[in-house]
Amino acid sequence: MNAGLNPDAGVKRFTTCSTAGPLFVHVKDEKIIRVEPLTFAEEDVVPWRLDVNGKGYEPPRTAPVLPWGITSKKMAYEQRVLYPQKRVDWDPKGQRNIQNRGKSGFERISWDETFKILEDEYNRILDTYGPSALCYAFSAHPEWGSLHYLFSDLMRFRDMIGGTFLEFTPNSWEGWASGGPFLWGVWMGHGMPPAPDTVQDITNDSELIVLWGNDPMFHNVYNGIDTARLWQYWKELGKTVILIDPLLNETGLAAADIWLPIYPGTDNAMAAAIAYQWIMDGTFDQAYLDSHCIGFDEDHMPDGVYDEPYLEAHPAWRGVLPTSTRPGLSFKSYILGEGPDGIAKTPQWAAGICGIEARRIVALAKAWASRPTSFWVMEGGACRRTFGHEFARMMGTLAMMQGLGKPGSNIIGTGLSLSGPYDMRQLGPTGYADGGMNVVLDKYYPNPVPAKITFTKFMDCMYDPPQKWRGGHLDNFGPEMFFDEVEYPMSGCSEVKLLWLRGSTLTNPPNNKNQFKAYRAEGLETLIVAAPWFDRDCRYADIVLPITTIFERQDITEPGSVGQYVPPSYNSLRSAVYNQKAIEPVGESMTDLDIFAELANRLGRGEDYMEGNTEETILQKMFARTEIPMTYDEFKEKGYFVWPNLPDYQPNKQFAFYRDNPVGTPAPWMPGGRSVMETPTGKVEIYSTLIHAFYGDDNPEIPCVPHYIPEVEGRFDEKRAEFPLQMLMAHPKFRFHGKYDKNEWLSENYKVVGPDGYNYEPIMLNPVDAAARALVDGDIVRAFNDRGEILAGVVVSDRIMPGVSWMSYGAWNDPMEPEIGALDRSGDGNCLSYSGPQSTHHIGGAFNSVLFDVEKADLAALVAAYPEGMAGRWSTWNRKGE
Amino acid sequence: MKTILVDPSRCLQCCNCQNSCKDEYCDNDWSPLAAKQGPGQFWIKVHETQSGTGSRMRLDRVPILCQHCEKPACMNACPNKAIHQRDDGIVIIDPAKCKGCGSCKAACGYGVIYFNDEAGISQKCTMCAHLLDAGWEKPRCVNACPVDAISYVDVGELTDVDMYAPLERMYPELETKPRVAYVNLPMPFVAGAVYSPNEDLCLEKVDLHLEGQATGIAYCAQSSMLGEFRIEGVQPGIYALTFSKDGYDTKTISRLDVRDGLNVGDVGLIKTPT
Repeated sequence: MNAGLNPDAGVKRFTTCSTAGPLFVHVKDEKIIRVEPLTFAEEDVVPWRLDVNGKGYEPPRTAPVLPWGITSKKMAYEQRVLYPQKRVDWDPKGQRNIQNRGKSGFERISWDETFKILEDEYNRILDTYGPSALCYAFSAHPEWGSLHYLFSDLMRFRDMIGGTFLEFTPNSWEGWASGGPFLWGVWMGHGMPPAPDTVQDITNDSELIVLWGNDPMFHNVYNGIDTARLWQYWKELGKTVILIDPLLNETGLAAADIWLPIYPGTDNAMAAAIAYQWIMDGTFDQAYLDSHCIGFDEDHMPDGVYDEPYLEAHPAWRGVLPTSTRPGLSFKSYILGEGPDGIAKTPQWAAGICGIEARRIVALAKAWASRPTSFWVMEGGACRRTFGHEFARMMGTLAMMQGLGKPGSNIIGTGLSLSGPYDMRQLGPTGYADGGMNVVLDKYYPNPVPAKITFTKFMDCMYDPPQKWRGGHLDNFGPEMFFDEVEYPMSGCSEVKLLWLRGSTLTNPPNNKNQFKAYRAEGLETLIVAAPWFDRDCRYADIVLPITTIFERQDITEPGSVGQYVPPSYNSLRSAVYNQKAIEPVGESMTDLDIFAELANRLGRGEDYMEGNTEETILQKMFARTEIPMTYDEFKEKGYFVWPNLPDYQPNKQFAFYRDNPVGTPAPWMPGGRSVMETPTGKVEIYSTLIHAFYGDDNPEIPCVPHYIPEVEGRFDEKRAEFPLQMLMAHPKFRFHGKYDKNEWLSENYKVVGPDGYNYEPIMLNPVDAAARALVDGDIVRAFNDRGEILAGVVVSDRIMPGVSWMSYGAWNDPMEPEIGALDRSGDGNCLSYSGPQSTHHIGGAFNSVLFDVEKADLAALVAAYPEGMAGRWSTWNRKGE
Repeated sequence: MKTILVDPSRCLQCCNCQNSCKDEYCDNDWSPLAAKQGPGQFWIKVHETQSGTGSRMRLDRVPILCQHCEKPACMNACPNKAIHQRDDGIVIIDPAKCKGCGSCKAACGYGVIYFNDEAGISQKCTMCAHLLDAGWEKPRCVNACPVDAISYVDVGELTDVDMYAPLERMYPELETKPRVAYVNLPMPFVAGAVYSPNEDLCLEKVDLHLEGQATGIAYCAQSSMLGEFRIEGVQPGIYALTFSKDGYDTKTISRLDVRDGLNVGDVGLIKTPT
């Protein structure tokens, strides 16, 4: 022992929860000195346990935290917006110089001055245009919280005052949202069925695990690296893991026995061939399809398919039975080549499309059908592309063919779509999407403004109103919402004049020059960004508001809990955490709550907004709703509570109830005793009656049964002659979308340091593609297509298949010129990505259908061409703008 | 005596170990055990190398930190007696005594000593001695590892039950007797798939016999799902690989140069004429 050195002297340890998982925060002299994963004390834990043949598994007591959580001390103090800032040439009483957004710098202003500007702007806009001219958007994954969260403080303010919602579509599971509801109803997860008790199911009964476009290891969202030990355990139990993905992803590196590289966007061809093989071999669950599904074969079609107007369109087939001489419209007819296209979806046919040899497709189909298989396919890049809804419907159909719900047969995915025991009797704090303060305050004021703008239409709305589109919603409470007609400006509503962004980097919009261009629209008079860090959208703001991080405020949250709309999804020890305030606000930062409360005060709605509450009293009310067996003060002091494993826990394995009961049996856990399949027929609709009713028999972009449709900007697009590489845009491993991009400790692990010392975003190329362009590891390249150009640092690896290249999105933009669309040194993949619709059916999220090419960059020439740009004049983090 | 045990086969390169180390040391001064860690240092670092090719590659991820050797080359090389070994085996560079000559860095065969330009001293892992002394259960890197690729154990007390693979040491040939222990250090593998070209069929349960052409060391395996096989833990050398299955002509591929991972590709077996 060294005398005089006590690392714990004067140190107080606080608890909190982050987007990376729960943390202990050590503070000395009012400064954070360390951040470590939270460890639950042994005496506080009664864990659940798995046991197979004497091999046991218990979830760890120390939280398996994601990489950025460990570095969050650094981000408590770096890159922060320290005080309110105003763009130097934006004068709300005079010249606004909107054309200079993203160009000119910022000056410090006081909070008094800030609130006066906000108050005046709100009054002016409300008096002149009405509340619909106020518009709000938010970063999809800001700091963790429940009270301090967008569904709490922002929604309450927006709805109380009234405002337009600039919404994004469910990008995390895009195709499942746009396709899933037509197959099996919306569920509460908007197209993805929940996955209760699937951890036990895989452990006990699955023999084969198929990861299809899925990488749960670092991407089980807020649950941290919680599946890592489970993969280890499943490997010890001898389960075989097959990865189907253009990239040997992190889960594949750790666990896959076999990797089948597949061309992006060709998944449905392979899936159709698997279905073909099962039909040929008779290795699928015909009885389950007969009783619980509709549209699989010609004997189980919904009423009305072959009635008028079908017969009017095809008069020659009147009186002729399907599959004899007349094309059938069932899934089986499509697969066997007995449908309108006449093409049998054989493994040989699929091999020419997806790049996986026919013999391997056959062998995979046989292996799958002969073993209880856990199918990891929900979310992931394969559904975030053109015709992504077909991917979801096709994969769901494969799952049904193999008796989804029988022991060991389940369908899961990366994002909160896997769960161990989760006892609904143990009522904890609300999830982040549940509304926070709005759940416990007396009154809620519904938004009087019905107007919404979907994010991919934002630029068109700002520059070229009026606009019309269908759907594009974030929340889709029924499949019919995809058919909604939306217009801008909505009848009786104003055009948008003020935009308030809660958090920066928004949702990382595809082809993001459209977003930045919209920010420079003359009609957008005021742009306010409230963010902890000065990142991308801040640079375009008129006013930047400094926001606290999790370390500077109090909250009550359940780690990993998004909200009751994806109910049971936890694979670690389920807990509740008190987010203790570890340090005072850094700089002059405030909580969003306090900012909205003060603005509400000035607009005469302060009492309505807070109802006389403080942060503390709201938390007390939120705590009072839980069943946590502690007092509020005890919970606040200790900082966490771990739910004990209950011996009488009743598992409710995914789909087992549906499979084991006749269609329409009221499910005991569903509100109002509804059955679990909320489709028009009450069955899983492999043939969608809603699609039939709305789009007709033969819409080539959304057929009634799931199809393989060659994607726009895919392998077979003629654009490939010009841009030969397909882009794979997987999540970044060392940041959360755009969050923490400029973090030295994280950057050291993945960025490519150029000869000029700049941290370039990595681009991964297969050795074949690198050699064809004479590129080697560490080269700096220009990546480009018809939408933009960026710089990146080459990483050569066999992890990516030939013809495909991996870039991420979320790097903080660093344009070489002030004009929108200029060469971006940061390497943000969204400068190149596709912002078109998935199809005629769904306007949102086809980011991953991207063709591009790369060539070696000449850094010396770039310095000569862009002296100011290369010096960082317009970089995101340059607040001076000089 | 407790030490750090590393299992590279479990490592995910999440870098929580590296980052915890930076969190503990970069802004905190734990003198006399460690001065503030300088920028760009990695007292523990995950080294990545690709072995194998194509769809049968592996990424070997090996966390390397100060091995806290029983016979530390750094300590012997230090002209200023600034490096000492504690009773618990932890090797410490005393920041007050270090004159920054760099002899230790040059002497260390593990590349884990860094030079701090600003402070003018050499720095390295202390195994979080300041925390262990204060009663902490384990070093920061071990605590932050989400997958038990790094643990803090007394290797002398490991039993058959908790020791799942033979103990190894990194670079034992340096003869510094490292105390940090490893299991499952990356070994070469031979992988591929077997199929029948005239039937266009993946062949499962093909018997594989891999034999060292000079050494005679032999490994046996069978192809499994999709005809894939992967023989792990192969000693480097020149090998012959023989495939045999009833009904098919036996095939041998010789002169396989196995250094790390070797993907022999898709191997076709011809159906024996009947």
